[in-house]
Amino acid sequence: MLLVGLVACHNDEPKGYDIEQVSVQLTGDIAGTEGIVVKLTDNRGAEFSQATDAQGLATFRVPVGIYQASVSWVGEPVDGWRSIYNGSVSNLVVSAGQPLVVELPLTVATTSSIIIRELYVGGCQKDDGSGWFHRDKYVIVANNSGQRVTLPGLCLAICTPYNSYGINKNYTADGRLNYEDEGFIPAASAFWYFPGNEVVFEPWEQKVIALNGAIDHTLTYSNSVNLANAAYYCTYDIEQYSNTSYYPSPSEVIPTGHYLRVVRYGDESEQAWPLSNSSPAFFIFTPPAGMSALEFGNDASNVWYDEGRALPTYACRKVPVGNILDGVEVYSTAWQEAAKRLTAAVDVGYVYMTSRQGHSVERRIDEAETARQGHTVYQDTNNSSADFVEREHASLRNEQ
Amino acid sequence: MKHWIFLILAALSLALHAQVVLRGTVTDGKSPVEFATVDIRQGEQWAMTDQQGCFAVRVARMGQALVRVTCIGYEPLQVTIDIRPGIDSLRLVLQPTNLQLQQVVVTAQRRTENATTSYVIDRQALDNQQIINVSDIMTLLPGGKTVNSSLMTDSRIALHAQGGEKGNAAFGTAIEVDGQRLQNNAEMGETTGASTRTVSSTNVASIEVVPGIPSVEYGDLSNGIVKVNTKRGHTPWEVSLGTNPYTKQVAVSKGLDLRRGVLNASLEHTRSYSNLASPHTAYQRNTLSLNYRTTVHLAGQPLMVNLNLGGNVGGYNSKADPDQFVDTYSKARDRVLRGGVQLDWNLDRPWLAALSLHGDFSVADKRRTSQVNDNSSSAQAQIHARDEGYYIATEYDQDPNAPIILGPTGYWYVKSYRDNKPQSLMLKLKARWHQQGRTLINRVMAGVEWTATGNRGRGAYYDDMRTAPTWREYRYDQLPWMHNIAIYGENRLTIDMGGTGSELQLMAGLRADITHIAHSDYGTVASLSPRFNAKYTLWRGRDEWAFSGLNIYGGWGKSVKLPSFEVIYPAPSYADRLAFVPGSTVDNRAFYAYSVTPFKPVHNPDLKWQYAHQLELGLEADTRVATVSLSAYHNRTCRPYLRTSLYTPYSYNFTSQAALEGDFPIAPADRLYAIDRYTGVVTVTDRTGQVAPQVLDYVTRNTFRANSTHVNGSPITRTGLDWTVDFKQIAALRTSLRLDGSYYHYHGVEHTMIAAMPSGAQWMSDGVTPYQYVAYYHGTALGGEAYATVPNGSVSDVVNTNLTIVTHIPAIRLIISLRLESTLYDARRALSQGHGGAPRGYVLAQPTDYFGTPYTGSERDCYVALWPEYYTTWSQPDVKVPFAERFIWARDNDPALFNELAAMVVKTNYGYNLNPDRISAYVSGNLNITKELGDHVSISFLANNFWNSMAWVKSRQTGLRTTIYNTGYIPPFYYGLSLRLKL
Repeated sequence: MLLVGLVACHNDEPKGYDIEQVSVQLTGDIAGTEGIVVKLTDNRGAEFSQATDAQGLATFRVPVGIYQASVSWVGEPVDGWRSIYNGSVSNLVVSAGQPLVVELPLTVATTSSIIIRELYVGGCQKDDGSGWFHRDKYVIVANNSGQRVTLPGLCLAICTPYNSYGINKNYTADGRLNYEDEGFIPAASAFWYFPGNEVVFEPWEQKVIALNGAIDHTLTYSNSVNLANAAYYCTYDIEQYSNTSYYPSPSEVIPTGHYLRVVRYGDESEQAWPLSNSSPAFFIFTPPAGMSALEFGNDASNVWYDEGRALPTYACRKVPVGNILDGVEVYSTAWQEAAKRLTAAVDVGYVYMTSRQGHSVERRIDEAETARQGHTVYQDTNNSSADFVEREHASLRNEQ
Repeated sequence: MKHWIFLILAALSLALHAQVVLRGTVTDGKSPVEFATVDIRQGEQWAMTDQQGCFAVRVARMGQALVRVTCIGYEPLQVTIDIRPGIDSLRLVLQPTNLQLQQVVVTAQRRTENATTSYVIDRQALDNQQIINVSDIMTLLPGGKTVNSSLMTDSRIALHAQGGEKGNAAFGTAIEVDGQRLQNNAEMGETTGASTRTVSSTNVASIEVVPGIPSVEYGDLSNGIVKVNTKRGHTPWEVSLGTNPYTKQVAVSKGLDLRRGVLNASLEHTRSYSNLASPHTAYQRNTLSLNYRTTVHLAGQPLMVNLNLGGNVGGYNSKADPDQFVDTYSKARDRVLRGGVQLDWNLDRPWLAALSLHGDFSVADKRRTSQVNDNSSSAQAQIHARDEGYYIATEYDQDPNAPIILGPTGYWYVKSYRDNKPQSLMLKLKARWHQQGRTLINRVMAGVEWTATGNRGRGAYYDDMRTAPTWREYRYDQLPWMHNIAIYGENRLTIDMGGTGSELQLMAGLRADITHIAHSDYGTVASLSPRFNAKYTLWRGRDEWAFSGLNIYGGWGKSVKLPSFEVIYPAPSYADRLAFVPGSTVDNRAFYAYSVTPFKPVHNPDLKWQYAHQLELGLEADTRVATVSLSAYHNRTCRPYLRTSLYTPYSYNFTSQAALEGDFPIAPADRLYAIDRYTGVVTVTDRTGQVAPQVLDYVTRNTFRANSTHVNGSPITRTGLDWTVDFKQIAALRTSLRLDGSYYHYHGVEHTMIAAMPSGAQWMSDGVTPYQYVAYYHGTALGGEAYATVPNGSVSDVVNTNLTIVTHIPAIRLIISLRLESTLYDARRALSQGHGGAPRGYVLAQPTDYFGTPYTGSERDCYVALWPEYYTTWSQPDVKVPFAERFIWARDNDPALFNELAAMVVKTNYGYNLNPDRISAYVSGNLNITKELGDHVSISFLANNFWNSMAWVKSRQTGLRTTIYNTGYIPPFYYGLSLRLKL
């Protein structure tokens, strides 16, 4: 998919200024691809766009000034996976009489057509005014393509700190996450996995997964959602997480085959999966080739410790970035402090959410692709700042 | 021992001498002082003054004698008198206690007449410090740290100890008020020292702190004793008003002259809260104390009668807090009624000098009540079953007494109670004999004491079983009382060594405690506590010498701490394993079935009572510039109580709701579920009767139950030195200096093998089998309860030094004390040691490793892993499998087993955890001012940490610098004001 949402497009040569030529040469796997849109943005907010030629070169004539060149480009899906190319170069000084030639290296990330469509974790207000209720969480995982996708497994995981505003001690002195160059995202505490050897998504299929109680919460909390639906899935492994308040017995209409199981290795709590009510870093992944989800979770040699603390509570599993289908970094509007937990290879941005008010975060609809494919297509550029939006009401509540 | 017997025999063989009667009067210079106590030679003989201030004491021994006269409202008077026949008009003049006196003390003073370390804190020091809770007196001891006094925290006194140590020093510190022990043995839910929040701080006359080796008269302790003396005697009306940011206090007291005796009445109201913006949630103390004291003559000899009755009505209450949700609150009563009678009969017969009978009782009500709002969209199982078996949830309307009630959905309130009523009784009979010679005096004391402690509380319960959550009844009032009979004898020999006031005191005692716990596996247990003290006064009163007085003392003693009810009667716990649950119905109700297994505490027939060996050595010297006091001690706490777990294999049956799927013949709406109590087999019956009952398939889960038990842990040592240097007052400045401090060393390493299961990995590699191993580790770090941890002990060294500058200007009745409190050295280190300091644990190259090189204790900045010594399995619980051998084999041959065994490896949290730590020195300043306005008004002001220190300290363990502002190192800036009126 090509990014075409340009704020200001100036292909005509400006008049009345010193104009100079800037040539941006893409480097990397798609250096020779034609039609990739390169943006030049100056420090006053003016933006210029040019598509690359067959050699991957975009040529601009722009007023002198200081610019940033950037590219964010999503490739066509292949077997349910797509490549996302991102890159930028800052502080480009364009001076009169000095044509500028710059190289723009691109990093590539692979993304699946299996996406997180919506995440509802923040809860809602109770009817008696005594506070908020949050055991009605759910996530909608969707196939964002018209192709049938078969996965060797599908797991739900969270990264630490559990809340975006928690002090993140996993940053190095130079401000980078210490696992950024290691090629993995830590899955904290435990992860849920679909039963069976494979998980099939029909074209455009959406799977609703209740993350606490798969029952009709609206009988008590009118602002909540009804998750008692035969088509829904639920995270329910009551012998592992035995708190029936967090995990009430799912509605009898939901088949036990729709129960996700959990593999615990970290947080010692037998109560519940420590999914943030306000600001999780949530991601979905498939187990590495040759391993089942259970084997992957039990592998003690694949341990990584949050904050460098070698207690069982802080034990995480290292999930290779290449196995991560999608992720969303949620920040809390209630806190100014926030630090990224998902690396740029999974999600370069973040989306703010207000908890306790029935809000959720949901992907935007990619209007152009929707128009082109004749089916709702959700925007997926590996950047939740652009891809996600905060909903005032969780979508399942609207459907009631 | 032989030497001791010889001394007793020598003393008993002393010839008796003729007696004389010492007569005199006590006045305040103008008027006679009634009810003053005239004490000869530390209780050898005594008398009380009458309305004319007259007294008469029969004294058996001629020569120099220390006479001590005490009366509330007056400074104690000590004079040395050469007793001889014919003294019948001795005039003793007492000075009223006020700031016009030349000598005023606002710190704890060493009590020099004792042969063990003890300190006395008088009323002026308490007023100057504005003590709210008696536990705050630790501030005034050598090296003590100021605390911001409040009743919101229920801090407990622990002598010669610090927090986070093994051995439960607070539980071993005894506290008495007017001779009545504040018992905490019958408390449920805690094993710690007695709370002092219910003791009126304004009614205290003085407090004696004995961290050293006390007389054998005092038992059931291992860390010394604190003796609180309340006001007694004829006093004016005294009104006290106090305020600080978090506490308000008002008190009134009066000592009424009832002709034949004095009735002291004291009333106090103190209210503390923790939130300035919302002072509605508060703890209140409302105390009433009555004491009647009189002297009658029985068989011609004075008999002092003391009757006490007092108590407290108060506690914690948040009901008035408008910030709470409507109709929700939390209340905790802290009511107590204490009473006692003490008879001291000064027989003064050759065959019996004195006889004392002391009886008291204490009845407390510490019921906690809370009402909380609750809500749920799903019906929850509320388990109340106490017998082993399988039970299925039942609707309340069908059976209100069902073992499992299916709770409500929607919104409701839950009102809960925890009824806790500890009680105690004590009766003590004590006799004293004196034998005297020209250079010897021998005092013999013998006594018998009976104490009984129990609890009349109902335990936890609920108003409405419809909403009562999972909970099991455990009635405290059905627990047998603990009875203890003690017999003790003590001999104190004083030998006059010559004309320079030189004197040798030798004291030896033996206490036998026989503890009986009815209907208990512990039955009757006996213990012995021998104690010895010696004090040698080399000389005294030699003002012309550089050292005008010098004495040394030392002692050794053993003291036994009786166990608490929590140790003897720990509440059973329950394992509730889900056995079956069908899916939730359309109204979100699911009939949960559970396998219930009670875990009853296991009696340990080898459990011995915890005891302590105390050794001390002290020195006191009077010089021309200062009075110096040094007290060194070495305490060894042996057999500290340690709670561990015993894991026993057992099985239960689990039925998955998958059994209801497929072509199950009974429609969901028509299903009635039942579970066999003994087999756990689930049967589904058709409500319509059209389909035959269906028995569901199940699987068997093999797991463990954890029964708690108490064992005796490894010994702990505490060594220290307390010092005080009271410099003579600089007359021109009316200022005196006091330098006090303490050095404290703690060392404790636990070697007891403890069993543990990894809590983070409850399942085997297949994901469906519960964890099948129990690991056994060498030692544990925490005191009281055993866990698998890398450190199995700690060592610490702390040096605190305080400089107190006191300016006292009698002319304007003003005293200003500035106290600089410093911690000059604060070092501690967690230890991981095997027997004899052998390596324990492995140094890891990376925190994610499991294998490394042996940890010797010299490494820094490294993660350390601890392996269990061995493990057992569910199928072979008696076979100890060496862990190391199996773990190494699994690494190379069996990844699944490796992953399972790796869960038993515990590691240090950070790489620096076992680094030695030392906090750089820090200091804070506290200011106290007391001013008297005439004879009737007195005002005290305090400012703790008055420069609001924001200094930084550096930790050697982490290399980090942190501020001490708003930390536990120093108290936050705080101020307070109190006003006292004497009418």
